[in-house]
Amino acid sequence: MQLVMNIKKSFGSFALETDFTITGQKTGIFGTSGSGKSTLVSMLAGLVRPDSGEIVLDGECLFSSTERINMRPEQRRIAMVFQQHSLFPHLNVTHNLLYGFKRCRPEHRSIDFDVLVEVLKLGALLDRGVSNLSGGEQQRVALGRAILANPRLLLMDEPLSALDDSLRFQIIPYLKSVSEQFDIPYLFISHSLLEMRLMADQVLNVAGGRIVGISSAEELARQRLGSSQVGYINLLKLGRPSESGTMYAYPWGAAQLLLSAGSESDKSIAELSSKDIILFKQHPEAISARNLLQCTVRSLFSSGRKIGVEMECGGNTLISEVVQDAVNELGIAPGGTVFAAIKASAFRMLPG
Amino acid sequence: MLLTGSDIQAIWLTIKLASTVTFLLLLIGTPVAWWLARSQTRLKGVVGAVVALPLVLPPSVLGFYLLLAMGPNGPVGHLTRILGVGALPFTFWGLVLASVFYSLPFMVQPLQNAFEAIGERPLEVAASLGASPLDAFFSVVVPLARPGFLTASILTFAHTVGEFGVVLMIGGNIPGVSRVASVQIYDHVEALEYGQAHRMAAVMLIFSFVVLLGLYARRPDSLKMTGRG
Amino acid sequence: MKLLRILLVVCSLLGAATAHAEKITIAAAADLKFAMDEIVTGFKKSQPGNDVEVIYGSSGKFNTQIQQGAPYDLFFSADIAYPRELAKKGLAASDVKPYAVGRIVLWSNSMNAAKMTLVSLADPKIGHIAIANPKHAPYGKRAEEALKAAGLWDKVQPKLVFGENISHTAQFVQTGSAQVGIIALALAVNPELAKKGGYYLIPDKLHNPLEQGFVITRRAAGNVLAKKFADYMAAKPARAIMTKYGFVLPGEGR
Repeated sequence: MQLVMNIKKSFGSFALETDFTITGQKTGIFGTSGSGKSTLVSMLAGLVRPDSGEIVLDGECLFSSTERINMRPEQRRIAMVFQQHSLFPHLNVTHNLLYGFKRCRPEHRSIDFDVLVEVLKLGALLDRGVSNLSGGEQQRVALGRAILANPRLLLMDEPLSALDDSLRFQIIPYLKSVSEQFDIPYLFISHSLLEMRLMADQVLNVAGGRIVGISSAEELARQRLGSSQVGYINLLKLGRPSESGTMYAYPWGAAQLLLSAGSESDKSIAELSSKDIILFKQHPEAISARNLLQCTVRSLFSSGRKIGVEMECGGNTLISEVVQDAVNELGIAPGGTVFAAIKASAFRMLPG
Repeated sequence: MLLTGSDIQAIWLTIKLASTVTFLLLLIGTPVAWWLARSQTRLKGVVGAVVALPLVLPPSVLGFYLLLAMGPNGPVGHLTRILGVGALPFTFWGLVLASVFYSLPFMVQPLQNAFEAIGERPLEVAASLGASPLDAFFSVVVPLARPGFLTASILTFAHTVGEFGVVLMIGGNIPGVSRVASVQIYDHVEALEYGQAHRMAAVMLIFSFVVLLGLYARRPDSLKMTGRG
Repeated sequence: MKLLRILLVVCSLLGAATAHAEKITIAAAADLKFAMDEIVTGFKKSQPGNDVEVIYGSSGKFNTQIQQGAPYDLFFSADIAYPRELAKKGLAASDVKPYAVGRIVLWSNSMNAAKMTLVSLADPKIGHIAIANPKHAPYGKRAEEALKAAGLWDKVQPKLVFGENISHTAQFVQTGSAQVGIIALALAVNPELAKKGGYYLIPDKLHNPLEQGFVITRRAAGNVLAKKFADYMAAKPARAIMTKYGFVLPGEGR
């Protein structure tokens, strides 16, 4: 997918102006509410008309003020998944799913209904009305419907924001897998940095109606370490735990971590803030924190008043944050060894 | 039989008139209501006010001006002569035209409310799934606005049945052409034939009650549906 | 309390002031509109300080309303049968007095009715003929009688359209929707209609007399002003006005 978006749009005192070209299958658009990200995708879908500029998708011009082109939304083959309440209440699940499929030209139809129903686990819902589906089921149907329209691009505008946390993380694998399985590129819009890191390879950072940066989600998260209240969130991929006294021992790469929370899953993801990792220059003899890892410093980076310390711990990557004085006192430098202490209660398991 | 032949003729004529008017107003009122619900121009206020005018004009006043307009010297009269359809006063189609105008707000306003309640979102979704505006209108808007269509049709039908002043002014009280039930009852009353008037009024009352009961006893599922935007 | 006392004083003053002035309300048939306005103006001049209000409408409707207790002191009906009915029911405070005999005319807005007769109505060029509803309007009943007497009823019946009352019938003709109508002479001579075209007076031997009469209602029994107005109708100035507006007076031929 290649998208060129070079447009201007103003509403009253708010002005949106972008000039970017992106390629890639999984792109995030990140920004706070009011930053202009929803308007941006609405213009891409053809629901809002830019004041001027051009939009070119995979070589086809969707909009050009100079050439007076403004392709109708129904001709753009760009499907959308909205935040909520977008299913047609007068149709049951099957007919919702087929709405776009029926309107898609036969030569574009490459997605098999049964396969999609299998991937999204919608089989039990097909005959049901949509009003008594749960929020997560509704979003799965909305996603399936968008995919079945065989779009060349899928826009997801805060598709998880209306869901509670446990549902959110249940849906994310579906979002990713359908895109991969059916080879449909997407733009994923969210104000959540965590969702960006789970969903997007590259992220457009939108603020005040401008694109203020294009980077990977990982880079964006590191840049925001100093300014974010929660610091940088390490996402740790853990294996199945075993009981260890009053705690649970999880395999983490070659290392092992003791957490206070258990899990039934073979694979789980734990969040760990950079603020919750304390670094020692030498092995502390006795500490209350239950995890003490010997790590090698890979690099340092600054973000605001904080210094991020990227470390390699038993084959895993971990980022901690310290102030400049600590770097100086401990003599933290790339290649050096540090000990990282983490309390067992500092981890937060991602639901799902 | 409680009713005379002319009473039954009047009731049959009334039902024919109300059905014709309701059908025509569905065709005319739907695009007007859709435009009113969607437009953001200043003209919207003007058109909305014109549509609502029959609500405030006394029917006999409205009937008098319709008579002037449809007469051979009026603008509508000129038009009908050019089109070769003849003069409209004292004809069934003259009554239809007058009733269409008179009942316009009863069709347009409930439809406009129903369309407005649907909001933008379902249309945006339909467009992003490849539906043209016309396709989206019939596949999404019409089903979602179904309660609105039902309300508008019932109100229009009932209002046409109950219409009196306008019909009296332009109809000429011709049996089978313009002597509708309300006029027939009025004639009975004026001629002091209270017994016949009571019987016919009772038939009309029961009919109207049944129609309105049908409207109000319906499950109020429209809001739930349209609230999902 | 003070305010209440002032209000009481004001009210009693107002009551005292109106106690002298009398007011009567007259219900009059629509065809009397122009004549009655002029008569009332003359009467008021002779009765300074008193008030006379006239309401015009259909005689049949007034008849029903008075039976249901409507506050009319005098009732001038286009058909003497109505006041007679009131008198029979004990709702009148005076004898029923004939005040005029109505006449019906052919009148048209687009043709010269002065050159027409009833036979002209059969002309296929005439699409619609307006008459008042014979079922309840006295003028309509006389029109029907005249058409039947002339042997034209069956021929013209398909062309007939019915006005609610005699002025509504005139509106059908005035707007040109009906080419010709049978209306009251009293309306045809009024300036608004007279300037549009002439009229043909339908011979009164073709229909029952359109005897018009009035009565003082039971409500106005002992009302001095009502009695005075009743007397005034028989006096010269009022009779002159009635004649001017095309009414034939009782006892006078035309």
